[in-house]
Amino acid sequence: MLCLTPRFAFAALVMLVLAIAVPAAYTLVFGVEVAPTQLFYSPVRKAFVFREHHGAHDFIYADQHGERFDRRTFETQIPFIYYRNMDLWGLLPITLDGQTFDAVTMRDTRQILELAPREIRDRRPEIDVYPLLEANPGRARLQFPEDVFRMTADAMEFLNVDTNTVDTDLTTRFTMALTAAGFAFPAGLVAGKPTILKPLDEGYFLVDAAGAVFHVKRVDGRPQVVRTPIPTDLGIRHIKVSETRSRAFYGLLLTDDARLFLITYDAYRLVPLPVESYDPDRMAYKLLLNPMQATAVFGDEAMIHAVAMTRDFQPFDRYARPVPGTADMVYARLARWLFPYTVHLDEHNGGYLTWRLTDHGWTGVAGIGIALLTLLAVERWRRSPWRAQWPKLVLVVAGGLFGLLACLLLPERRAID
Amino acid sequence: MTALFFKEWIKLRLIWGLILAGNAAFCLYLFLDMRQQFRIEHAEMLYYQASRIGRLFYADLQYVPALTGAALAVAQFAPEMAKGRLRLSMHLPISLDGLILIHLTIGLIGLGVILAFDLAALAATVGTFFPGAFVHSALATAAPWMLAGVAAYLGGVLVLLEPCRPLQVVNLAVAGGLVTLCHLSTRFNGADHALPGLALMVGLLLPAVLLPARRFRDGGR
Repeated sequence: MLCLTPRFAFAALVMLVLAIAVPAAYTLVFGVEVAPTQLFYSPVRKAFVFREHHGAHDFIYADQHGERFDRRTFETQIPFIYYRNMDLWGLLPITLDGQTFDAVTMRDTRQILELAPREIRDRRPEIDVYPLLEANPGRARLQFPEDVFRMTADAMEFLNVDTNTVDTDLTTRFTMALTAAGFAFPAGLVAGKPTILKPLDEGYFLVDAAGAVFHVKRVDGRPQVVRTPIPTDLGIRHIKVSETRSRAFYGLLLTDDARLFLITYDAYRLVPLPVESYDPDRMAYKLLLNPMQATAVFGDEAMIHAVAMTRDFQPFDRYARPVPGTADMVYARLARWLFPYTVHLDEHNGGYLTWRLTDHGWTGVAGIGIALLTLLAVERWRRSPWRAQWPKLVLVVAGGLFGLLACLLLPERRAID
Repeated sequence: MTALFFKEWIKLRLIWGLILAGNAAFCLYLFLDMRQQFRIEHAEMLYYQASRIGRLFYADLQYVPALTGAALAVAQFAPEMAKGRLRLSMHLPISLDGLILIHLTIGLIGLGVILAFDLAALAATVGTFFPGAFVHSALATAAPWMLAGVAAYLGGVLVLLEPCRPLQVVNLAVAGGLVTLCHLSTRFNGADHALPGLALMVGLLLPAVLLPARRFRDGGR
């Protein structure tokens, strides 16, 4: 067995590289891209409408009852999404359920909040150093301060970015303000939107060691700390802050058990959102808000779900439909026969490169059988002694086509090996 | 064994010194480049670019370890394969596997010293302008690039020791594939979760190198 080690190591290496490279190359040559289904609740039609992609330039626009329409008609069914096109086409203002909306009203009253798996704190890398913007900048646009902060074991520590040294004064002021509000160090989660490309700044939500949520802002250079009434036993996994001019919601709060809430400006009241069938590690959650209703849309590669709600977030209609995807296309079916499994090294639903193994079930096993028969035919043609072939058989059983290719690429084994 | 170390040291010291000097020159460039960025741009914007947009100020470093590893492999094994000089060493009272592993140990120590120097220079450069969290992130981000250096070295040896041209191409493709996998992530800390698997694959190269060595001994059969 020892004398097999270099051959085994090389064969295993070749097989692993092939298991990653061959399916990737196959997809590059034969793969078809299918856009995700777009699903909305139409306040015009009082039904769900969708745009579904079937590969190439084949798009279907239809409603949940199967009625199809053209692209322009589709866009007129969801005026709060396509209000600019509606305005260009002279279809605004529009009256729905006795309420009249023009383009400006639509622009100012709609809001879209989204939480994708790759945004969740534990699914992406982050450097735990943050800028705390001045919430009252006294100018038209927000600007970055010349300091950043990091949460240490016992302080909210500020560093001057020009000198890369601790700003003792700011550190003391903010740490004391937090301590005075009852903050228990160290912080568990720091959530904010550290960019100046937003209309206003709401600072950061900090979860302390006891699970309490604090809201910290810099206003006129001074700390403003609020201990929120958000329950400490919620098990907060992620907070996505999303500032908008409407000042209705601070953003979304996700818990460890996959519950999702809106954080309102109204005394930090939490509004539960529908999460039946929602898996935050696989699905992006989109919340579309307009003056008439709210729609939650979430899904994965197989299904898309939508829940229509009143403006006070009471669900009144639901719809789910399968996503066409590529699984039934010829190239994908052939791939399942050719490859017993695929090894992926990619950023699937996150910010980290991760190893994934996709097995192809019984079709993959059949593919291994075909690879075995091919190997036996090749070895019979080479008139190889059967006794010497068992390591190759093991390789092909383990790797199907990848194992077969590795066998063909390996130098022939000599008795001396 | 001491004689083998001495022989390899005499053979490699000049080229190793040159490679180290090249790496040092590159690290100096990296420092001056980052210093220049801080001179012409507001520091807070550079912090934003580094931590939020994901700009890697030290991205130029990513292929240096792989080039270093490949150069060291060529410097160490190309002379051995020229006119079959490795056969002379095979007459020493040591097994073939032992002989090759001693050569690899010397090469990996030499490579390790250079890669450690690169990492230290990277930490010093980033640490001059950014706080510790950025230094940790930079070192973790550069870890798969360093692994690519080891893969390029061992892969280079795998190619050079193989006596049969078509199999050299196969070995080159395998080594190239491994080096490519080590460079897949384009964002900071992106390969943190993939590193153990990558290290395992690069680790397989070590015993795999003995296969072409045996074939070389046996005249390419």
